[in-house]
Amino acid sequence: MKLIIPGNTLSISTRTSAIGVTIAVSALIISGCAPMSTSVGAPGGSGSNMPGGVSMPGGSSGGGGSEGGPQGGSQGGSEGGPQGGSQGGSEGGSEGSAEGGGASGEGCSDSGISGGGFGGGARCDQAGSVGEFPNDGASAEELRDELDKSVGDFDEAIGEEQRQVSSVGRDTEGFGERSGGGGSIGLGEQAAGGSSGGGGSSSSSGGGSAGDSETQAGPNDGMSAEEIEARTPEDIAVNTYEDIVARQLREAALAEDDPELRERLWEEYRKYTGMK
Amino acid sequence: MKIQLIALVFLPAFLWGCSVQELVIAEETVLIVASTSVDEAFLLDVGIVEFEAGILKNNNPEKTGVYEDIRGAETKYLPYHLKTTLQGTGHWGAVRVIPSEKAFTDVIIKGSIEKSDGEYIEIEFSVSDASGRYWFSRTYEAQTGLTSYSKRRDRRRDPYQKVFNDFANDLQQYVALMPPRQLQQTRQVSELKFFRDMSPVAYNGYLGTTDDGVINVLRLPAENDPSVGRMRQIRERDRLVVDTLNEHYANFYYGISIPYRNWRKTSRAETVKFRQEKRSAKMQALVGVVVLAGSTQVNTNSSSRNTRNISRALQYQGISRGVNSIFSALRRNRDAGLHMDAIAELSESFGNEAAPMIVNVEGQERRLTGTAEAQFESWRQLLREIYEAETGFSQSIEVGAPARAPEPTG
Repeated sequence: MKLIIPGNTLSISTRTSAIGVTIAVSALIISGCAPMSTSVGAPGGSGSNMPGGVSMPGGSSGGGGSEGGPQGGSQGGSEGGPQGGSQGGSEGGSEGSAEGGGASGEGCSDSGISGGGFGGGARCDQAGSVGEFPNDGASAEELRDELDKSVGDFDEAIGEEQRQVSSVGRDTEGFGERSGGGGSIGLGEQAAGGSSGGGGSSSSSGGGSAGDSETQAGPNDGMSAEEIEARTPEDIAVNTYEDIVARQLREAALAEDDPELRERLWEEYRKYTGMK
Repeated sequence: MKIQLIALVFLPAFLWGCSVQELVIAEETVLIVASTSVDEAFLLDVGIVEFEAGILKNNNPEKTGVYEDIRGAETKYLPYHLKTTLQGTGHWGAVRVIPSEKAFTDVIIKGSIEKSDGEYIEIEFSVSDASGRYWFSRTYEAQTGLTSYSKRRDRRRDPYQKVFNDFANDLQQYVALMPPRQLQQTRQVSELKFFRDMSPVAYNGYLGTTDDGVINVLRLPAENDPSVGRMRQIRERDRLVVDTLNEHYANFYYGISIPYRNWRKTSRAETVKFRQEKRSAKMQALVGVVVLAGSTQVNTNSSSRNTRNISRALQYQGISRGVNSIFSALRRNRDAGLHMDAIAELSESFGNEAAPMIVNVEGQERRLTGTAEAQFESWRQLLREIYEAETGFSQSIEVGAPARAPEPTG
């Protein structure tokens, strides 16, 4: 059953409880049956590996009903088939118990002998045995399918969320090349190196290679050579090797639009570089 | 005598010239970036917890200059900027802002904003990892300069960039000294912590805790175990949720970027002017007092009438200048107060602008994490059922000692 919450889809399993109730009722009715004690070759969960087979749950426990007995295993098994059998088993058990106590007791016992495991027959003693899961009638494969489906639903919901969030326009002017909408997110992607522009990250760990910081533009990037020359006093070389402080002073002076402030910055530059 | 009087009269003009305008060139730190790509196996994922606002209980914004709405915005804006800085270094795996430290990540960074007024920034950072190992805690500070808010400046370089670069470099240096094995184990621990959280019954025995409280790996699940695949599949969704949340943070970051920058720029300018006015007012008051005191001491009882008249005239002029200087100082003090008022007004205006954006991002945060928590809880239930179906062990039964029904006695 799906519980729909606005904007999101939550899958909450209520099937489990419904089946559990059936199992509990049948277990009460057939409480006189002999407990199944034989362990099964492969303890549970192999619906996918051994679909509905003779030796596996489902088929055998399906025999818990009035039709049970020796035939139960194969019949239930064939019914359970690719579903892994446990559900078929429990259903069989329920039917059997409804039809008659004595028969069901026998079936119960047989089912245990012939395969035990997942179904109604196994519930006879409510104690559980290897291959049994006490509170559920679903097979592992069904549960896995349910998980996959739930994950798929979740991905869809998150995908929708991402589409919405990325539809919001971002003013990224001045943040470098990457601009516009939100960054893309995907499963298994590598982290984009230096993704400050789009803000996009990824789900898996991954090295951002040296990105933005290397390519971070200086304050004078985008300024033409003529403009730089025009803003540089005659006594100061346009291109020269200098340390970081001098470079910062130069950049600050070049970036300054106010001529008075610019000249003061050049003064600082001259003082720092020992020109004055 | 004449020289003294002339000095007194012209002293204010001289001192006035001494009070130059502040010219601060902000210090900058070069960010250390990886020169070659680092093996992914040794890259740690980083989670930056939303910063703490660092607001005192009985905060009076007009006195402290700390406005709650602005700090609220900074607790989200600054971690996101740190994320972009760290991501740009190439030393880390995925870097994400996380709403709380409960998130499962390799490295957790926490920050507390101690000061941020556009001119000064002070943040205390503390770092630990998934194992519970404490790395370091340090306070970083910087002063912005005249060109920190230049229009030509690349907006990727925040005016507070020095703090982020200093911290990023320290973090890189710390991790560079860690043995590769420890890096690997940190990744394993964070993964197994997630597995354990999702399926305690299956993954409880994989992690242990040392005497000093550090979580260590006791054993590892088989790589080909289908359960591991399932867990990783779910962990990807966990990351997907956080990544989506980070997109909301990104929208907030870019949305608030320009008004926040303008607030910082103007706040800084007003703070500098306030300081200059205060300094100037003090200086003027001092000069006024000195000139006044000096003028009253002038000897006007000369035998020569001419000299007496000159002395008196200079005395009056001195007294007048002294008094004027004192009044001028008072005016400057009042003007300084106006700068503080301007900061308050500006801060309120920006706070009002930021508040709806904060509410919006927090709403998205709650909705997304709430939904994810509900979803993960249902997956926990499913995983438990799968585990029980696959192994036959229920959660209440200790692994390795399955309960069996008694043999029939009859």
